[in-house]
Amino acid sequence: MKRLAGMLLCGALLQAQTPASVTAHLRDFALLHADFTQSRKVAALSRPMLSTGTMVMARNQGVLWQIRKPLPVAFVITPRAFLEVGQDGRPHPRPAQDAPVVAHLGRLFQALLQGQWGALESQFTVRAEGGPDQWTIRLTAKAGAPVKGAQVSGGRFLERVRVEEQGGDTLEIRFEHPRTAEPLTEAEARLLAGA
Amino acid sequence: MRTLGLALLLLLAAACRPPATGPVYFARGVPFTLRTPASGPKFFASQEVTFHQPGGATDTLLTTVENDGQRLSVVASSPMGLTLFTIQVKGGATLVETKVPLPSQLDPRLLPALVQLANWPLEELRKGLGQGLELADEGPVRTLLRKGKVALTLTRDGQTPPYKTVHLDVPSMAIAMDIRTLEEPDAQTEDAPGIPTEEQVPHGVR
Repeated sequence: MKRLAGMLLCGALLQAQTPASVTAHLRDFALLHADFTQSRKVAALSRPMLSTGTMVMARNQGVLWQIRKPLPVAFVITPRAFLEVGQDGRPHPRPAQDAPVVAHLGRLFQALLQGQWGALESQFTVRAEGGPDQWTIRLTAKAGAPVKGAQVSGGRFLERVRVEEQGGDTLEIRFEHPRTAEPLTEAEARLLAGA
Repeated sequence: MRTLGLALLLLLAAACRPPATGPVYFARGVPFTLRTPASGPKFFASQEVTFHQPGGATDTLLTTVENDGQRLSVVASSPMGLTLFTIQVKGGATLVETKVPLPSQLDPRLLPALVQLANWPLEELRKGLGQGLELADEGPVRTLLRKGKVALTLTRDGQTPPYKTVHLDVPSMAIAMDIRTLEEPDAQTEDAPGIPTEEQVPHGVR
């Protein structure tokens, strides 16, 4: 009987996990730099398309997504704006529908930064698994969502994002070398402040 | 980066009144029958394609091209991975999947045709040309001639497909295109960890 009660209690505790609670520790740091490798699989190609770059998450400002290879380009995603920074270094406003996957990633990162998942819950069923040491958040699309689903996972930091698009193509992003003590460069600060 | 270059649209719209099957037209009176993937070199490349418009403006597109010997694929995408359109030449058919609206007069088969013109063996390409057309190959330059006049010029730089750069000129339409093969990032192993090391994360910071 005690065992059954324990199992029920564990079940209840697991049920109580929310995306905000399992990722609450991510909001303890104001700034995070991390390198990423993005792997995109499409049915028409036998191997994935790879790109690498650096992500900057600034809690009070937004996200700077900088692709280094194969084609340098950057995006600034804040609650107020979505900008593309071309090779000329100038930011250009872009409608989110021009890059729905980027915009979706932006909303995901904002949710992680702010702990506010309500904006995503209008388009997705959001479920959290695990605990702060190792967590996974699964997003399953409701009607009209820009992507079919997504899975975000990590531990002390964000480690992996996988997005499944409506057509079956997939995008997987792996993060490495998280750095919380690295300050914003002048260029990064300018881009985030200007968005 | 705009979704599809205006110059490309001009080129394709003016050059093509596409039949669903049959030859592709590089320009009016310049037909070409697509060659099989097996008759060309195998390669995989990401390329930056820049279209130069008659007024001097430019548009840029990111493409990934693969020929595995059975299938020639051209995937056009935005830098963050939004697929704009996909074209596959396979088993004598051309499959086109678009994620953005393309003009109805556009024949998307022109893109794999240009890929073949730049990379396929000369003799194989000549088998696909219509009557009255000549294809000359002098060092890095391939010239397509119609009745002795230049219809199209391709200048390639680098060794073997995919070339480092390819420059395309269509003089009759004052349109040019530059294709630059991009350096591929190193592949990462499937289970590469994203967990920080102690050196990367200061103590007491979470």
